[in-house]
Amino acid sequence: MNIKRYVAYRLLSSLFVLFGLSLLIFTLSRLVPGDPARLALGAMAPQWAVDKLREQLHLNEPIYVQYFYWVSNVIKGDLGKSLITRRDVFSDILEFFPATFELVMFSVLISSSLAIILGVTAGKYANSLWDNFVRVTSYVGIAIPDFVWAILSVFIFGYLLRWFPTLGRLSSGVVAPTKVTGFLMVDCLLAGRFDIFLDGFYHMILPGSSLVLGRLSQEARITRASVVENLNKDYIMAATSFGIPERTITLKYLLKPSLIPTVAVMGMDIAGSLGGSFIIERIFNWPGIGRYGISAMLSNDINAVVGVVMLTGVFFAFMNIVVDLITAYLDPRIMMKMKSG
Amino acid sequence: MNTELMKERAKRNWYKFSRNPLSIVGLIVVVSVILFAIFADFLAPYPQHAFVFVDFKNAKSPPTLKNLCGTDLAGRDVLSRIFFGFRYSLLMAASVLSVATPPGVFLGLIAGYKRDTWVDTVIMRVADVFLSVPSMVLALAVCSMLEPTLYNAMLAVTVMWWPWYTRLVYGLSSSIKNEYFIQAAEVTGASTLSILFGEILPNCLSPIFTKMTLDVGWVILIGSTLSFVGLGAQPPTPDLGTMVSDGSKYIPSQWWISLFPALFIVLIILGFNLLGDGVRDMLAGD
Repeated sequence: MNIKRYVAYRLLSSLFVLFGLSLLIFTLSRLVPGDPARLALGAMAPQWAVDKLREQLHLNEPIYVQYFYWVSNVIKGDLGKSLITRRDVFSDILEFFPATFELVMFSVLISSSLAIILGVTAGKYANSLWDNFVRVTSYVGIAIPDFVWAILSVFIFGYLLRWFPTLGRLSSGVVAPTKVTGFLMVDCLLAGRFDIFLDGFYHMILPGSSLVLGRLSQEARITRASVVENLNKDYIMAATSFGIPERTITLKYLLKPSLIPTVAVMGMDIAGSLGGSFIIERIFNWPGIGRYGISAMLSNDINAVVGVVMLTGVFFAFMNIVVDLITAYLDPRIMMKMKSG
Repeated sequence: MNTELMKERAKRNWYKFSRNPLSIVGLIVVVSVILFAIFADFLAPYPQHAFVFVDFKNAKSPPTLKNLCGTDLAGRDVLSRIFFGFRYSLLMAASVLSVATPPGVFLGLIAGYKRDTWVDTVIMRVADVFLSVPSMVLALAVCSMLEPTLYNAMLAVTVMWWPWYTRLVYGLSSSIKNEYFIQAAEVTGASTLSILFGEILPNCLSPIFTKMTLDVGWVILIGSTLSFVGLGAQPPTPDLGTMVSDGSKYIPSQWWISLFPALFIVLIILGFNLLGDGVRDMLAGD
């Protein structure tokens, strides 16, 4: 199977899964006790207004008809209006998404690169003092929930040491450059404002690192295990007996196959960071999709909740395809298996 | 099986388990957490502080000998509430895993045994749908659509938990089905149910059991996160996540209100993870 067909196959199957997700989340959202129209208008609204809104929202029709209306709107890019703010959910999500994307990418990049460094060094010198240190810290790292780490880091680095800011994306008084892409960091670079870029980066450190720890520990353990496994393989011994310098062996022959499991779990990592960002954004008041989603959830804003879940699903599916492509590049056997299977 | 053999086996399992000292640490932590949860009424210094209790005279007291972890805004002893909080963490893990595992395992068994038929396709694609959003996001969404209570949080976590077992068992079951003893059972006319439960399931038990032990920590983590956000247990329930969230508003000055429950969450999860690794060492290659 060539790469194009592989991508097409993956896109199709994710489309199918997303369709299933929309069915699931839509049905769940309509099964909730309580009248969304009454919720939107408040307890004081007159009954005729509620009835009119019910008519508008097609709430009097059976669920599958409602679903049909909903899907045909979603295809047109209309996720409905927020029941609380009356704003368009889709444009709200588009506005908040870049902040989350930057935060998640920042944390995934840091956790993967740190994990590779820690895992490879620990695996190469297995059972050394360093290896044991990495093992014990990763045990503790996995056990710390994101929100606990966030609170600890706010307490230690924000209040006690006052090293990093703990709220928002930019210092007060700093104005974001004009919107071009919507991605703050990219916009800063496009506008040539490195000072704002640094300020944004500075704000990203605490929330970003809160998302790093759990993922980092897990990835480091996986990388270590696969390095240890590959070190015992014949081709490494052959390379060593040919007299190839150890450095070359590590970087050129050991690294690539050892990273396959690490990259393969990166999809899970992104999921973890994305889920964690819902909590972290709330703690750090980060204006992203997570903070938007949580406040929608807490105020029972069904349209916004469904929109956020769907968007998370789309983003997650896309990232999984990217991760699979990287894995296929590192391990061409995967493509071969697809051909036979 | 005679008693000699059982003794021998238990001895060998204990040897495999205890080879790693960290597993023993995990076991000790888990056993003490369970004991403290069961006997919280007797072990907590102030059991009456667990739910609604007000003592403003002693409110916001930093950790002292009288209140080892300090007191919260209403003057309740934080350590006592932590002990009662263990109950809710363990209850969460026990109910989620005991409800999510059987259907997850059952669906995985069938899908694996009927591999490449429509049964396989339907079950595994449905499982894919549940895994198509980060589990935390799905749990949060389901929680928000129900009333935010501890029991609905359990329900939400259960809803997202079963597909992991389906996937695990599917992999095992689809490879076991090609073994000769399965073919032998089919030839002798064994029913599908008896093949699933009598032949395939016993061969999947060790990985399932290992995963369950390792999952306890994860469930507690997600449960405490839901409570932290406000979509799980509600005050005055002494849930560890709720306590962290309540206390976090007063963090620079009254840091002990949220910091100690947070540390105990970490301790419980760490204990179960270490125990889970020990169980894996014990059951691997057996």
